[in-house]
Formats: sequence, structure tokens, C-alpha cells
Amino acid sequence: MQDLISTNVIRAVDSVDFNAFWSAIEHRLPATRVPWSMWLREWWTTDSEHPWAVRLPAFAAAMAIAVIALYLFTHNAQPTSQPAAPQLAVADNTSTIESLDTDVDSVAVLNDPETRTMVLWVNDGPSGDLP
Amino acid sequence: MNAALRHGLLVVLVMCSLAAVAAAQETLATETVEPHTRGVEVHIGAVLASNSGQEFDQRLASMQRQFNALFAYSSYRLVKEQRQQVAWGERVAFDIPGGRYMIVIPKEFKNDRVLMKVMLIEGTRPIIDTALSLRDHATFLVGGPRERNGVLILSIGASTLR
Repeated sequence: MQDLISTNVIRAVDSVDFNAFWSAIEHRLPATRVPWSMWLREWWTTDSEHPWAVRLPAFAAAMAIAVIALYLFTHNAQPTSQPAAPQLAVADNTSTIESLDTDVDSVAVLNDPETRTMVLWVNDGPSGDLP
Repeated sequence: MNAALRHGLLVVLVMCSLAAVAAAQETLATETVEPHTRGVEVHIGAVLASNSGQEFDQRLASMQRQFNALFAYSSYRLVKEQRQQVAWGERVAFDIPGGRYMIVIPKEFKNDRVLMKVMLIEGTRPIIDTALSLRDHATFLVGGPRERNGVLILSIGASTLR
């Protein structure tokens, strides 16, 4: 009796066509999107026969990028100055005389090396003295 | 994706990143962009320096250090001042006490320096006719013309307008 039932059930199950079963279900499932972070984590943790082979260059790359970013940040940082600092301390009056024509007897060029201020001193009097 | 392929991919990625950073840095270092200026503000001042009195005009405070380092006068007084915004090539005329006058013509802005022509004229006689290259926002001095009990010191400054 038990064998007869088992035989009939197996025959009934075998007669069912499962070929279209998954496709019938699949098109009803909502599309799921795996976040790239999860994908990256999965990729990072699986197949870890030699995990250091992946992680070592990755850490080295991260460190190299961090060092370069730090270098660029410090290299391009603008110098700060205190608002209370006297303006004269940073005066830079660098100038160059490209050409000079004069109608007076004596002309002198004076220079203050600290502020690089240049003076063109003309002596238009008879004494011809400097300041 | 096996480990060797990932390793190679990371190495390529790192090299590309380093190359991109190096290229950007090189571009920043070599690129010299001439800033656009719409003109220049010329600042001219006439200072009467003498040994009569101990006055120091507070309007000249920003130049006190230069004056003390360069000259030995005991009194400095600003007798005239003029600021004028002009286009490149346009002239600035400045009448100086004592019948003289000064003409300043800013020519161009190049390598962070203002190129200008400066003429100091007395009657029809050019006392000086000079071409200067002046750092942006800097001041150049012309001194020596006698006036009353002292001498005149003329300050000429130029600041580009952006």
C-alpha cells in the first residue's frame, strides 16, 4: 500500500514541468540594487587566498595619496599674518630704473635696503648736496 | 576576479592617480597667467622736507620708516596729494608747488610690475625723464627739487585695478 502511494506521488511529481517555474517567478521579483559599498566589501573579503596581496598595495596607495594631499595642502597654504602687525614691516617697494634722461648736473639713486625703496635724487641747486 | 588581477588593477589605479596629481602640480607650477587689469590707480604725493621744526605729518605715517632711513630732515609735511585711476597709456598730470609739474604715464603691467614713464618738468625744462618698472602697490620716490626752506620729495605709487 505504502509503495503504491509513493509510486503514484513520484509519478505525479515527475509529470510536473519545472522548466518554466523560475522564469515565472523571476519576472515577478522586484529589481534589487546592491550598493557599491556592499559590493566592494564583498569583493574585499571573499577569495582571500592571499589577502595581503590586495590590501598592502591598497593601503600603500591610500597613504601615498594622503601624503601627496598633505604636501599640496601645506605647500599651497597662504601665509597668515596678524592684523595688528605693522604694515611697514612687509613693505616691499622694489623698483627698477629702465632708462633716465636728465637736464640737471647731478642725479643720485638712493636705496633703503629694508623696504627696497628707491629714491631718484636730483640736485637742481648750486650746492649739489645730498639729503 | 582573482587576487593577481585585483593586485594589478590597484597598481594601475595608483599609478594613474600619481600621474594625474603630478601633472596637475606641474601645470600649476608652470602656468603663469597674466592677471587681467582694467587700469591702474596712480598715487602721487608732494612732501616738503626741511630742518625747520620737528613736524611729522601723520598722513605720511606709512612712509615714516623709509623717510627716516633715507633722509636726515627733521620735518616732513605733505603739501599735496593726488590719486587718479587711469587706463594703460593714459597720462596723469600733477602740478607741484613751485611751478613744476609731473607727468606719469603707466604703460603696461607685466610680471607683476607696472612699467611707467615719469617726467618732472620745470617750465619747459625736463628735470628728469625716466622709465620705471615698479612692483604692484609699491612706491618710488623722487627728491631734491628745492622749495622754500627745504626740498620736495615726490612719492609715486601704482596699484593695478582688477
